[in-house]
Amino acid sequence: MQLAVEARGADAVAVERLRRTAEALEREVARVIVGQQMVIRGVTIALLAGGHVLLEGLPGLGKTLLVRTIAGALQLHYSRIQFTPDLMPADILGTNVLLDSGQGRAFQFQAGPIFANLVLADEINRATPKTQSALLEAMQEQAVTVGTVGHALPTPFFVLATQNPIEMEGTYPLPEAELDRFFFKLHVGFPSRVELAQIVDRTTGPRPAAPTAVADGERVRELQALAREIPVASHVADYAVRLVLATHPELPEAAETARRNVRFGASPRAAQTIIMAGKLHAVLAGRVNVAFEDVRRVALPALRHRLILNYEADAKGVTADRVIAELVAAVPERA
Amino acid sequence: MHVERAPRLERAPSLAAPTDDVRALLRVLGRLRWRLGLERTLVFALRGLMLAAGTLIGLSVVAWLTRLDLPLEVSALPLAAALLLAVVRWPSTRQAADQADHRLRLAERLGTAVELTTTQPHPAGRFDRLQVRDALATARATPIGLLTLDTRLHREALLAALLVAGALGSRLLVDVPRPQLPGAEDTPSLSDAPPADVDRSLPDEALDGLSPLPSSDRLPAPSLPATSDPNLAAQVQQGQAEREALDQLSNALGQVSASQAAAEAIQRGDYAGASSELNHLGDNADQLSDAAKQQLAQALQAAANANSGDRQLADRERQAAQAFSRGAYAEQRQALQQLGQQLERSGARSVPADQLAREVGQLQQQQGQGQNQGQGNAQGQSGASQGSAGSAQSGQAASAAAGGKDAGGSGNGQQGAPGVGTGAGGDPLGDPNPRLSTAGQRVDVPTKLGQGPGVRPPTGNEDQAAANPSAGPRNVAENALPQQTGQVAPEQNLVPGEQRPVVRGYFR
Repeated sequence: MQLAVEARGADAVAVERLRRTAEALEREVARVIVGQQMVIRGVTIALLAGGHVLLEGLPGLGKTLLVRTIAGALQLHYSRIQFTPDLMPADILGTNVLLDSGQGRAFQFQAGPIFANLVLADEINRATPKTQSALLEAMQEQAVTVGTVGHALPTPFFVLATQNPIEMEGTYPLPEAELDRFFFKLHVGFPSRVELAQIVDRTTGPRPAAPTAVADGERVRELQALAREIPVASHVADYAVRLVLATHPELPEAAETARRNVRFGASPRAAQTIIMAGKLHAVLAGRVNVAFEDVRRVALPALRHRLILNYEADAKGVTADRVIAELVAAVPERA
Repeated sequence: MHVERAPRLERAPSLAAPTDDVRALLRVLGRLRWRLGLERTLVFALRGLMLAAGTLIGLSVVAWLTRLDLPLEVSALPLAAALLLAVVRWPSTRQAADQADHRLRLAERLGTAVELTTTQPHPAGRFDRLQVRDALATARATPIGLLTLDTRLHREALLAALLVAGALGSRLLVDVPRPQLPGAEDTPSLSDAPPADVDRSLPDEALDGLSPLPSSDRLPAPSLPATSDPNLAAQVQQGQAEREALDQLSNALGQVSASQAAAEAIQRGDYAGASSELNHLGDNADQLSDAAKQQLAQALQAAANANSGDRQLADRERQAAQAFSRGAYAEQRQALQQLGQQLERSGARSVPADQLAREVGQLQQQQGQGQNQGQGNAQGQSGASQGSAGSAQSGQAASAAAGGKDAGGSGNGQQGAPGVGTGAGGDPLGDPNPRLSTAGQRVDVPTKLGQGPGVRPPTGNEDQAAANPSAGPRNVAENALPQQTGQVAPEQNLVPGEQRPVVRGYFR
């Protein structure tokens, strides 16, 4: 979908470039990943918004391949960290190593695998909380502190973490503070019959196609800045704010479903996420303004990992997705 | 999160300054604003029309039932208020933009553009102008449909049409006869079968003629004695009240020469004729003088006020009085026609005089059975006098009530002379002042009828007792004796049938 013909000019070109780049990225990823259009769209939006994504799905659904494909399409430095219970923070961040140089011995910082543009944190819930917390500073500040020295991470910096929902033994649920750092939480579903057939065909035949580059890091930074310039009307922003407030059962704006099922509501980061994601969703829809529909579309991935359900909801088997769906239906567009 | 910003392009000028795009957007929004305003006005007007129609229906029904002259112009107030409210709540530009975004599915383009163009000057966003252009282009390309009107409004329009039709129909209630209200206004009709427990066969007793009491001197309605049949007493009361109402109407009409013929017809009991006379009077109402109209209006109003036995007749009298006091010819004509129609109906359902007299007599008998003490006062005077008012002998009563004409020229002075009774004793019919205390007193009873028309007893079962002219003066008891023996020639019974119960009571 293109903007109206009359809306031409440098600004229009810039927005059009943003949209085309995002679509091109999705096309390239779709050449490698079969199906999962919603996951691809969510990852694209999060990447262009400068956020991180938590992927949850069964093993073998292409989560790692997805991140690798994106890294290839955007020509970004990619690294993979396999989280295990014995993984130490230094294994992620890096450490100071005593090296013997010509002038004598000195400590030199050896960067860890986190120093990359695209970091795949595989099975992040298997690491200890201490190791998990090592990612907090990196994801929020895009810098790490080793000893007393801070080291900036490269930009753009994008963490795509995965977790397996079935292996509960020996796992450490992510703390709420770390969950809140993720822009989106996306569910990777099992492919359909047709999709599975395509997967088999692509992966068991001759060398699978490699993604072609659609942008680079510099372009990604430009597009991230462009996305922030998309205007959002006050009544639309108010709608997003009311959605977040409705998740808090202790507030007067709380929705009935939140009062029944939620223990702790979403943080202000959720409102930021919804607005940023809404801007990118609007651009992908061919608009230069955020609409109510954009807010509704991005509310689910933005909120599902930020709600803490109560015991009653767990006992009744109420999921966060269901609560969010009821909440979106209950909150009116205009106060 | 930290993102290294790319170098910005040259910023667009602030949108606070008017540009072609902004002006064009405002023009488009102006059209949308008018469209929305007119649609809202239509919505308000429909709802105001529904309220106004409902109000008019209510007022018409109330006016019909109560015969009050209610100001029907009040029903237009809701419509006027609705239109005024529509003007006051004329939509703003922002409201028009929001409504257009919602109904035309513009995804908040116009609302965002309005906000960007109306906010205070601040560093404008890079894509603000682009967004305004996009909104303008999309609004121009989208056909403007209905912004407010939806299917619900169709139902409201249908409801408004039905209410308006109902309101117009309610104006026709004027010509519809009011429903019979329950209670004292219920009058037995001739078609009603009499209760099985009421014995209407009364033996007639011969009595000498006594003039009936004028209707204007009618005694108050008697209270129900404990020993009498309440149904019968109620029927008697109702019948007396109806007769009284007809009398009063006759009196009122008799006050104006133009309606004298109708008054006389009522006195004769010719209600159809009276109705015809009223119709004729209505056709010629424009030829009456103002003084005559006012006099007739006052007389009819007085009759209506005094009428407590026939509510419908009173309403028609009141309506005619109002028509003659201020109305136009057409209204007067219609009022007299309706009065004549109602007169016919009232006369048709009123209890005949002889029947009323029999009922009174039966009631008297019931009272006499229940009370052993002397009831020698005139208990049945009121009943007999009322009964005679509407009977064929109404000429006497009417003449007595119409201003003191000679009651019948019998010369005995007892006709039309109510007298004041000196007898004591309670009156079971509520007569506080017994007419006569005839115990042991001589009563001169005329042996022949006066000049007025008299009514012989219709059946052979007549009171046989009569005063023997050849005999000397006898006391009441002696005169009554032949009644008990039944050995008097019928031709000597000079007392009209309806008056006999009255006279009979004298001798108790």
